[in-house]
Amino acid sequence: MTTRQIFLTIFMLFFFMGSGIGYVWSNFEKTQIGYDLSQLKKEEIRLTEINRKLRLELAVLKSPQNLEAIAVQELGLRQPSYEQIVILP
Amino acid sequence: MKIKEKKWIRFRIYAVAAFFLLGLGTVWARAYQLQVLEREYLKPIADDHINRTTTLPSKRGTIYDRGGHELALSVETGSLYAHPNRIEDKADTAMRLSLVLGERQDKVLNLLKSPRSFIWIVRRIPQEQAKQVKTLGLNGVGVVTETRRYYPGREIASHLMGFVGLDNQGLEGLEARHDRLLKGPEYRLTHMSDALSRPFAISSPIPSGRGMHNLILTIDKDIQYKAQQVLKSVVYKTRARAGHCLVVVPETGEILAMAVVPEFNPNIFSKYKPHQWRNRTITDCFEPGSTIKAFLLAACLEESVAAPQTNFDCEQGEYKIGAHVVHDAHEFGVMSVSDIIARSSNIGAIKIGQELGYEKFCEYLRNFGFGSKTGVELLGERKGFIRSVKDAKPLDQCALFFGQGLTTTSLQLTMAMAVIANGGKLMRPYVVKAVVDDSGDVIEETHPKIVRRILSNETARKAARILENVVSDKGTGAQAAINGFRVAGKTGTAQKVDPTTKKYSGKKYVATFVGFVPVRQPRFVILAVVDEPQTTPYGGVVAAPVFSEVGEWSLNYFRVNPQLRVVTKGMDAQADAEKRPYADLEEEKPSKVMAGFLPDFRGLGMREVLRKGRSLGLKVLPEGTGLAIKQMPGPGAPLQSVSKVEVMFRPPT
Repeated sequence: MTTRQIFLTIFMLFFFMGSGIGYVWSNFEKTQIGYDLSQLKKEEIRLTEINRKLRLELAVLKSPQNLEAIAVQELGLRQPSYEQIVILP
Repeated sequence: MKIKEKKWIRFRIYAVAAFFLLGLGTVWARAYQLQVLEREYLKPIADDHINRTTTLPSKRGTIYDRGGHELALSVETGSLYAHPNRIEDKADTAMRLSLVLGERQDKVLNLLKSPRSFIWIVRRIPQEQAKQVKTLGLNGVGVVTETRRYYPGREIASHLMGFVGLDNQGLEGLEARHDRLLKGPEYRLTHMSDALSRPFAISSPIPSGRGMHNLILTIDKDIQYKAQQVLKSVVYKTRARAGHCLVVVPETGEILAMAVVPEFNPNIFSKYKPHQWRNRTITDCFEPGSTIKAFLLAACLEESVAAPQTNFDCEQGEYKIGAHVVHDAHEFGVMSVSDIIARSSNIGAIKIGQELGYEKFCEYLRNFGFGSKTGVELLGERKGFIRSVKDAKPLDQCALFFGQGLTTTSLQLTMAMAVIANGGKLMRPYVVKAVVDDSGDVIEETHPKIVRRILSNETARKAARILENVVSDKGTGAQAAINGFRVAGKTGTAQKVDPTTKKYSGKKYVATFVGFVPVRQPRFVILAVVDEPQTTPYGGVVAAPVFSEVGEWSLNYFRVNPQLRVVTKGMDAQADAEKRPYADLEEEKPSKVMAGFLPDFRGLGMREVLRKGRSLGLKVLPEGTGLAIKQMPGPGAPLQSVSKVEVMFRPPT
């Protein structure tokens, strides 16, 4: 075997080994990302639901009945009379 | 090396090679057997192990008011079920469940003793509670996720929205009407899982383009609330049977509020009786009484059979038609058309009506939308009734002119009044402004729709001026006046027909007021109906204050500038009426504008701005839609230096 042939053989060896390892590594990464992704998807669904619940709570708190009760009973506010309203242009 | 040794080495090499080849061949053969020959049988088994599907409960779309506030919203809750025959120690299970649920132990135990194979223990409890039950790890007891519909505004617009049943199906109102749009599909999540059943590679949960839809209504929750509150207090004070109040934008036909008393809370709808669920504004027909005179007036003005100052003899309150005598509430002598309307004389109305003719009036009433559905997208709307010419005896014909012998729904009456308010166009009322998908993209938008034009602009304006007198001190609707604004409207006090005697009852009345505000460029048409008030039957006393209070509040809420300053309630309309005789029906000049200077366009509609600009010989460059908010150059600039004005418009919020 000439030196050239030896080099070529070693090169081919490394090339195939490298691509093999690369393939396995990328597959492994893909699976890992799949795990992460599914976790995140679950998290997304959970957070969306929490968001809905918080929106519901906010809507309840902001309902006119509630606001009126707080404004009138706790803060002592009342409807302005006609003379008290000045609408700025 | 000896030849023998060489042979031995070669033999060993072949043997190893054969061994590996055989191994490889076996692997290939087995793979072929599994992958090809037994594929059909094995694949489903494998898929079953790898692929898991989770079903997400189907959600319903959200219903928003015009400002984007949630009126109806679905959230996930847990529901608890049991397979009673799989539970070994029922007493222990019941004890532990009752601790978490806060229910009585014997009640739970009774449920668990049921002979059925599947029972619901409790449905739609908070998810935290459901999780606690899960951690108990009880045999035969399980939790599933279900959605529950919540109405955070409780009674707000409940009659309009309706409610949903236990299985998320719309049962009443918009929930039922738009069930198909609101109902979302059941989402299936498919994911692959490994040997330890940890999931990886989840599919996207939302099937594209088939998601649920959200509704945006034209309702304003604050005006709706105010209308309900005011109406409720009046119905309560007058010990009435029921009441309705509608607030509509006359230019577009958008319904801002649709209040009905008795109210119900859709979160616990089953605790109310079905008659309390009914949206009476569209399902209940009643005789409108004197409010119909507003449309008689408009028809007469349009047909030019009578002018506002034409006089009629009101016969001192008694008028014979055949064998019958028609009475007025007060004794009136000779009065002008405008006074007949303002004081609501029945005899006067008959005399005016006879000039117009029954057939013509019926035709006008049909054009105003009476006797046919308004086309609002709600279930259970009724048509009302107008007697045809050949069925109407002379007395029936006369009675129609003051609103007896025809029936109408509140919504029809409101839309008819909107015709006078908006310059003669019958609009189709609507409550759903837009349908949007989950990401907020508009799928469908409702635009204002003109059904037909009935009156000329001029007639509508004249009629409005006369209806303004109703709300003056000498009119029947003085209590509808709103400080700072010119109000037009008509009162109605109609006797109800007693179903047992089939005659008009002397005790049961429907009190009505329907009107609009401000008279120039009306923003709201408001109707108030009080059914069977026990204190006093008059529309001007019972229903008019509802109009006044809801109107005042809404104008303030929409930041409409008062047009009349320093006036006391009730004085303004009269003072106005005296200032302007009816012959002089032109628009009043805008205040504070001196000749030769640019007027203030702010707060005006686009048509008005264009008209004014043209009359001054200016080129108007409008931008946007709605009401003018800004102008370049500003008001007061000398006209000689201006040739064009840029006016910016913004829709009123």
